[in-house]
Amino acid sequence: MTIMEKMAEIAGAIDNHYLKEARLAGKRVIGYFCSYIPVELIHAAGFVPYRMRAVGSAGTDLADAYYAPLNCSFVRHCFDRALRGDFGFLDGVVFMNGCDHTRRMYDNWRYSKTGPEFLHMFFAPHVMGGNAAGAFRESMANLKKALEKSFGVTIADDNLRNSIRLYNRMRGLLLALDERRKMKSPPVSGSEMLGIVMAVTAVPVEDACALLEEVIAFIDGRGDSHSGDVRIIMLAGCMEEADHLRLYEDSGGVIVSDAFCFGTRLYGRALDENIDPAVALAAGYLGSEISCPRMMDDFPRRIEWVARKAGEYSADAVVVEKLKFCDMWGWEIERLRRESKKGVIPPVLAIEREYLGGASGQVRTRIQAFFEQIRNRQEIDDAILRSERAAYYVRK
Amino acid sequence: MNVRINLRAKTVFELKEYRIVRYLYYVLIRGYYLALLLLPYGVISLVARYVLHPFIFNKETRFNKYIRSALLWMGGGLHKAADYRAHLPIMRIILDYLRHHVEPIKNRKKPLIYLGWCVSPEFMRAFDVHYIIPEAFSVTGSWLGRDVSNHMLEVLESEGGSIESCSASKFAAGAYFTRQMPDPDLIVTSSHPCDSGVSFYPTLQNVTRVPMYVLDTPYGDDEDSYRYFAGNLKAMISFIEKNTGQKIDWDRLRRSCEELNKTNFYLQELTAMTRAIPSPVSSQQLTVAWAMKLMGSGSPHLTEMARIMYENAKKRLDRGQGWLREERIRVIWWDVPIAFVSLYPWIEKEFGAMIVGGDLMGRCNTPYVDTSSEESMMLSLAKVHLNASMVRNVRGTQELFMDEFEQIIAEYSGDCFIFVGHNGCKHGWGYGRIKKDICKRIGLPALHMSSDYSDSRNTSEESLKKQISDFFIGNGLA
Repeated sequence: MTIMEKMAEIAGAIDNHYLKEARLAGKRVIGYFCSYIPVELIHAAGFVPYRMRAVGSAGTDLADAYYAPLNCSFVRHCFDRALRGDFGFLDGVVFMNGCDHTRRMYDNWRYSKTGPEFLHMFFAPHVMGGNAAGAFRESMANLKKALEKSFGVTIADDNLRNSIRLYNRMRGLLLALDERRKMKSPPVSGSEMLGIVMAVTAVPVEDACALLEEVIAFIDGRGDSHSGDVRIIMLAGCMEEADHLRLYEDSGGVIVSDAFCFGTRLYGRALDENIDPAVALAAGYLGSEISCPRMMDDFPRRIEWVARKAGEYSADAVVVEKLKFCDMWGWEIERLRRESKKGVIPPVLAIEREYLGGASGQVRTRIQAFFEQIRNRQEIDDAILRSERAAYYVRK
Repeated sequence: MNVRINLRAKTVFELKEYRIVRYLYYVLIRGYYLALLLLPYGVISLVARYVLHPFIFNKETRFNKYIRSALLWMGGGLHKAADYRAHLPIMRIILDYLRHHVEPIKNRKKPLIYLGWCVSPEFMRAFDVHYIIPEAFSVTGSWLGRDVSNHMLEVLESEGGSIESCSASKFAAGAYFTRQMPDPDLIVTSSHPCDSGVSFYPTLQNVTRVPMYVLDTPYGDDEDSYRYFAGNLKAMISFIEKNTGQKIDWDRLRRSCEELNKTNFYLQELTAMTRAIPSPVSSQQLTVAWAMKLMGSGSPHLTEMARIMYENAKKRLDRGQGWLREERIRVIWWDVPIAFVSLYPWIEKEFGAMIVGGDLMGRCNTPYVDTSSEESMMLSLAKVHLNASMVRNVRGTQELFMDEFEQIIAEYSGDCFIFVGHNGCKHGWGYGRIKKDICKRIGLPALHMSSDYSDSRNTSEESLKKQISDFFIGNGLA
């Protein structure tokens, strides 16, 4: 089994042997839901932070009794797995007020008396500026207090500094991988990258760093795309389906950059190791490279990020995906399309889908049609460029 | 490239620039003087009861669509002569509010602020500014008929806006794109109560390109949360001062808060009076009062409106008289009330059904503002904001909603529960099971309906009426 297959295997399951080993060694595992939850705090308590997911979910039958069909399908799948006891290995779950659907998961989880006992709501501000950093620090203090009280541990600043260092290392390795996607023929595909990020957020960070080093050693020298492939930046919130990304890759696309929760939104931040850890965490998490659309005052920076990445990674197009009934991404798509019309970012394809919803045939058709448009446009642009150059040389 | 011109280009939609506002202003000015003439004689009541009801309120037709919704919001569904007097101040509140639209269109002398509906307008009274609440268009915009409402939503959808959001946000965006609102100089909004507002305002900022301040909302409901929000209110004041070049007038703010305290006293009393059997207060009044608070919080006209409603209801209470001649069903309606504004008078008339405890919007349960110092005023205004109707229930954990729901069930002697879930309220649908379990435990028959109050493409008024009729009959209530 190659390291890439190993990563895909870890990513494709809820539990894995690294977690099992950690549990056997007496470590507690704490699930968390969003990229704004400071995992360093959980790690500094001596626990293993585990990014919540719903991969392999077979349905939403149990969760549907709590939610309505117009609630997010990821949330329903995830909660369904919880109701079935699939997260029985967790010692606690930290929720966040990310969106209306996930914050109700905190309520339903408590109401259904589905274990574990430790369920905590982490409040993250919807803004970057103003008093947000102070509020974020206060939320961290509340989480710290709750962890210490519930598990009888002490989270010392030195431990926190060590955790920041470790997670910076992991994020640095992921960024190093990401850098390689700038190459003309990226050695790692988008679907593989998704698997890698999902895997490293499901294992202890120490193991994650070792795995990532192996991955980097393995992929160096590889080339995975072909000339004529459409280079795309993908933007989405909850993206866990590598199969879905392969629809793009099989249709002649190469995902060179992404803003997924299991992607740049998670590793696109470096925390200052030399200042007060609480200050470093608040600044690092609020000021991450690319924010979630829930951050109300940060769209200008998000669009600037997409435009910059499109240049750095030579992207031809932007694909933005939303799950049905997601207001955040619904309005974000509207704004991205507008900026695309103005020429600030490359052409945008917006896809709406259900989590694990299938419909691959329809999606594939849309992708193919879009790529066709992009290629036609490239040909026209090249022709214009050639004619302009010709004119230039004549004038010269 | 001038984006706004591109985006707000003419569509097939025939609604001319600023037509909604101009129409409303025109109708209200005339209606106000007519009401001044007729009110002393109780003529309006007679006309409403015997002439307008059969022709206007039963359903929307092409003959009544331009006046039906406006008349209902003006209290046309009421049938007590004395209560019509409260509708003179209501007209004044709406007229005052519409002036904030009309004056900047004619000649802009003051800065214009778009104010998110969860930010109370008292602060605007302390500055020399105009303010428009974009979401208020979903109420006033429908006064030109449901086809106009639907068209506004279609304009937004054709611009690529989120179709699944709350129609209040969609309507507001549609109103902007169809040039029903003059361009703002600033935007001030909040991060509550739901995802629709959170995700819609960045779009408004993106198209208007003006500075925006977001009042970040805490999730909790404790003193720390209130202090955090008070700090954000202070930052909001600094933002407005910086961007308008004005200084806040603390005396004006104090006067507005004192006025708001008086209003809230009357409205809270009215809400509490619905405990009586029979109830002397119609929820139509409370819902209209909420809408007026949205537009004119801190206005003396609002206090006057609430006082008249209160005094009339108190007289009925003292006499043991109900709002209806015969109250047959007591309904708990604990969600967005304005599914169709015509539903309240309809269920009252058709089934003798009274909504008790106030609905999610109309139920007034707001703390008082301590005006003794600037500091105390800010802290209590934070509490007022975070405890405003709907806001206090949906911005945080389910307990904020459910505890009050159980309290209403315990105190208001309801015979049944109707939940008109708005399609935009994802969080509301997210605790459906908890709500259902409470009703089951208490033995309260419950009807869960899906609707969109501005979008008859989603659910028609007729289908809602049919569901309610079937529910009442099926549960032996009618």
